[in-house]
Amino acid sequence: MTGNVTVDGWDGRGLPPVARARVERAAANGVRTSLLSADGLAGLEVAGFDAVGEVLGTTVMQIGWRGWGGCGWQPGWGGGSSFLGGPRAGEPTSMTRATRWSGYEPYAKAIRHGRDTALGRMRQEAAALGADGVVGVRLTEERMEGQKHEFMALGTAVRSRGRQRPERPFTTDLAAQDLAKLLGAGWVPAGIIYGLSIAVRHDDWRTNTALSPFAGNIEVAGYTELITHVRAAARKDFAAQVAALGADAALMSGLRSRMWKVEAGENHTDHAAECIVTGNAIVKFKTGRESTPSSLTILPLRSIR
Amino acid sequence: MTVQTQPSGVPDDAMRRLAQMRPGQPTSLFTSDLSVNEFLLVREAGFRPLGLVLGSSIYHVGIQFGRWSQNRELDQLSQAMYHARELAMTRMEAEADALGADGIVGVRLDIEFKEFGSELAEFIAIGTAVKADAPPDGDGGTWRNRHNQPFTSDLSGQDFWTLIQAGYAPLGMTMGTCVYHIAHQRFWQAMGNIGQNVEIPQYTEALYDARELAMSRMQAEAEQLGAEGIVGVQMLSNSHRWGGHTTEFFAIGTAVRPLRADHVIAKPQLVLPLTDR
Repeated sequence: MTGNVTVDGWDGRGLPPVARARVERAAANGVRTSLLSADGLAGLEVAGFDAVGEVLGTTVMQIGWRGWGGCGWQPGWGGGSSFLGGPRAGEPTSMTRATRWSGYEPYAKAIRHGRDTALGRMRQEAAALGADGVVGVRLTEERMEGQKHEFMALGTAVRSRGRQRPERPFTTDLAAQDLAKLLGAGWVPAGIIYGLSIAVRHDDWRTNTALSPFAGNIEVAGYTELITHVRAAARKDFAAQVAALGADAALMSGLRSRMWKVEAGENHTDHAAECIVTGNAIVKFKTGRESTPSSLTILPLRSIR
Repeated sequence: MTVQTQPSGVPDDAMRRLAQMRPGQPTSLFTSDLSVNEFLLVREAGFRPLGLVLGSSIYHVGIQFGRWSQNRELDQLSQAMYHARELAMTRMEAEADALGADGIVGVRLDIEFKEFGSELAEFIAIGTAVKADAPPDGDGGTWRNRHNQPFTSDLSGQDFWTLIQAGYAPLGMTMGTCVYHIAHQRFWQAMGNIGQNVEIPQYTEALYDARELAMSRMQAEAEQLGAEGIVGVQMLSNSHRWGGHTTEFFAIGTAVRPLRADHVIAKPQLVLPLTDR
């Protein structure tokens, strides 16, 4: 990204000049903007926070080189080729680790870079406003024309009414009401976390026979292995990120997986799958006696439509 | 759930904890896809989330041969839909068992037909494995079901809380499915009905048959678990990719057993919300 300098003289580091100007103006004049609903504002009040301003982080990336899309299977090498450190035939090959078989590594790296940059810029804006955290974050990825992807993080920066400040602003995609409930129960969100995994599997005679029209009712074991593999790897990555942050637990807010066909070569296709797990890392701050919320059985006096 | 308004300065504890956070410090980490409300209510019901569990199966559904002029169950398709779900559920339960869970709450069971292969679908079961703080009072004192497997429940955290409060425990998810073909009308019959308001008995009967089969299969599963009843039953009908005359009728619910003799919950307080929704 460095090396490209825009007409405004921005080299891609820190915040773009317009965002910098907006944040400085917001910090100076004291006008508070927020993306919260009335309920959200009430929730924030209960939690002991004030809204400071809406904050945004965005980046557009070109993801052209997805990597070498093959599966590592070479017919001439006896299929297995495990003696070369490659995958054995019929095993899903993880593409998010840097190995000689890491075909989709550039793609996975680009996705990570895009998400992290958007979240990072949003956090920079929040820090510039003197905020302690960002609530109700929406993290989106939109495909634009060509091979361009826009990653965007949008949320409301909040500041605690107390005197303690965290080292860096926390982020959460939870609504302010949920923040209030969590705090009441002794938990605080620490950051938005995601785990990512991409893998590819060579289509072999096992999958091909299971897919023949006359195969009858049969599980396509190869594809199940592939999808199970990426989900497990993404969840493992997710848990590792939560642990790396030093958090106690995570509330998952989304698990997205998809599988698609890859034209690996002439007259041959493979299948690839990816999985992204997104969620909130949370930490417990009330130690000692277990704190639980008190629930009240209520019956709303309204018609439910 | 009520939240007491914090006096100013109370988020201090939370912010201090965030400031003290150290990367990589040892924690007893869990992951869950419960919402905040569900997470807190499950905690209050006396259960600790252990982790997200899931099971999946990508399944090739075979071809059904048969005469299309009759009302009939398409047993090949019924078996496929049942077997694939069973595979996904069993794998999810195995994950929970490995975690030493007492049960799985908030289970979702989804089917996704794949674009890249006709007759190819992924069946996925996903939920949160939980462990109880204490065994239940009374008989045997275990939350697991009679096969010594973790219980499963597709109830939301809110419904799960209410169920436990009312003195019931979930045993397991029970399901029944039936893929049914409704006969095409004979030509002369269709001609005869033109312009008339009449019941078409073979349609009515077909729908009755199919639903009865699905529901009785679900009931048989509950009987096997020794349940007192099934709550939260959903009766779904979906024709997936099979066109207008072939429909899957799918019954699913949570089988429950009583934990005690009385089943009274706290009298609800009446509230008037200041919102439209």
